[in-house]
Amino acid sequence: MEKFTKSSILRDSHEILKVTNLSKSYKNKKVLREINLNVSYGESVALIGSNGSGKSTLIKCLLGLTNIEKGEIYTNQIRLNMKNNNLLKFYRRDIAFIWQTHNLVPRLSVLSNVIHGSLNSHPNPRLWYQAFAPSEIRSRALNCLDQVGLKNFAKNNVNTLSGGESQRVAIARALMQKPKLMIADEPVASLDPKVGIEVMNLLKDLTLKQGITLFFTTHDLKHAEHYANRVIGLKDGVIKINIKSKELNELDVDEFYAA
Amino acid sequence: MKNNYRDLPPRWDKTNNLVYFSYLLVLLFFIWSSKQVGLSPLELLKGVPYMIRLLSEMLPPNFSRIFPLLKSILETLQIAFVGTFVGILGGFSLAIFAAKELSPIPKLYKISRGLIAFFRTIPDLIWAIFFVATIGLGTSAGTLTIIVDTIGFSGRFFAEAMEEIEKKPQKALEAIGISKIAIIFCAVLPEVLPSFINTSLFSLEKAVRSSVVLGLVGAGGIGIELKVAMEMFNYDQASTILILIFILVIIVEQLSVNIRNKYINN
Repeated sequence: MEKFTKSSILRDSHEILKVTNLSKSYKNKKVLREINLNVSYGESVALIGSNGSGKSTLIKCLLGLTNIEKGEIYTNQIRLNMKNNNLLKFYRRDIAFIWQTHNLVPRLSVLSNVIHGSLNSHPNPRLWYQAFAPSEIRSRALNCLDQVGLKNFAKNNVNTLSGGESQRVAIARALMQKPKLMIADEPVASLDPKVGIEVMNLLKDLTLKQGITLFFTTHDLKHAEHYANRVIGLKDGVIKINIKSKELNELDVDEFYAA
Repeated sequence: MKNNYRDLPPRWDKTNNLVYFSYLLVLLFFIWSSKQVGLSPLELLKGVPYMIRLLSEMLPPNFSRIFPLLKSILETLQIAFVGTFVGILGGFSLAIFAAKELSPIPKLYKISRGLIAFFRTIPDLIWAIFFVATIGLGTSAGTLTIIVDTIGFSGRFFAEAMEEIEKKPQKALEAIGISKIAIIFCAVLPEVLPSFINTSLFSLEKAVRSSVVLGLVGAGGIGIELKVAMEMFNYDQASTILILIFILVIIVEQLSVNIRNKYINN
């Protein structure tokens, strides 16, 4: 990437995610105010906050899905720059994202959907559909499916999967990216509690095993406590809590959520 | 019990006189137009004996020229098939640029929209006359007509289908840095496929019907046979041609229904 300037790279940092003075508003309403946030390599961080606290907006900013007004975001030492499409693609390459709903491509096979995860680093038209993909990629995709326990579903149509299975396929697609950072926006909110716990366990185990940093939002404080090392609480666009997850129960959470 | 009619809501919403006046204008225009075009039950009635005579001359159909006619109807189908196939490819390529938010080159959005509209608004017979005049009589003029007509018809539906689908799978791929053209082929295309198949089948049905007529202006196919037979008063041959056309249209429509049931309704 010869187009990188010095200012786009943050050198010698032990932080995989670094946000400085981030502000964002929608139609004169301040949604995020002067957010400062650091996440170290290998950490697992939960972001909590009531509806409208700015969680989703923060996630959108991190992924470069919405313009930021003020402030800077670095992931993997690369500065988010939305004005340059090539830089943006490069910025997004090492970040996997799990949505609240799986957002798999309907009517395609599970294997095709997983293979799509590698399209950002291999922009090869053969990866559009599993039938044309090189054997090496197909076998890597099958391996990712194996890791989420769905090896036998490779040729199934994604429309036939249950919610939990679909979310696991989405995780397999994310693994296909070989990401350094995995961001998840309420990854189990649309699943029933039992399946939700299975998916969270899977997410935690896989990221831990592969040294991927996990940053997720949740409404479930038990999940925050159990699956994260650190909990960050957002209220009215300001970070109010930034503690180790062990300390969470000592805190008066009700007060945090109260209006 | 006492009826309280005064509390009932009005039967009609209040409209102003201008609206009534415009209704009246439409009615007047209809009466004047029907006079102008000569729509009268009496004229129709006067024509009935001639219709019966024509029908009796058409029957029984004359199958003496069945082999040249079969060749001609096959040619009609070929014009429709090749024209639709190429037209769908063209319509799809144009539609990619004509779908809002998806267009790889946003500057071309309006141009491709305009081009599709232009192809669609000019009737197929006009295109046929244009191509016969420029590249000469025969099947290539007819095929080009079907191509242009299909681009106009399918391009619009393709573009609309691509605009209307669920955007989240595309967003998910965009968020991990996948290029626009890859997103079109791996996320948009699978989602719109049923609607594409549907539009393509309609295009084929439409093309078969127009390719029958194209021969009337010399653009190849069975139409020219029908025209000659009618002009030479060979009504018994004309009826054979009509039967062949009927069979062709029915077969194509039935095939289309079967394919649709197989791929879309499950």
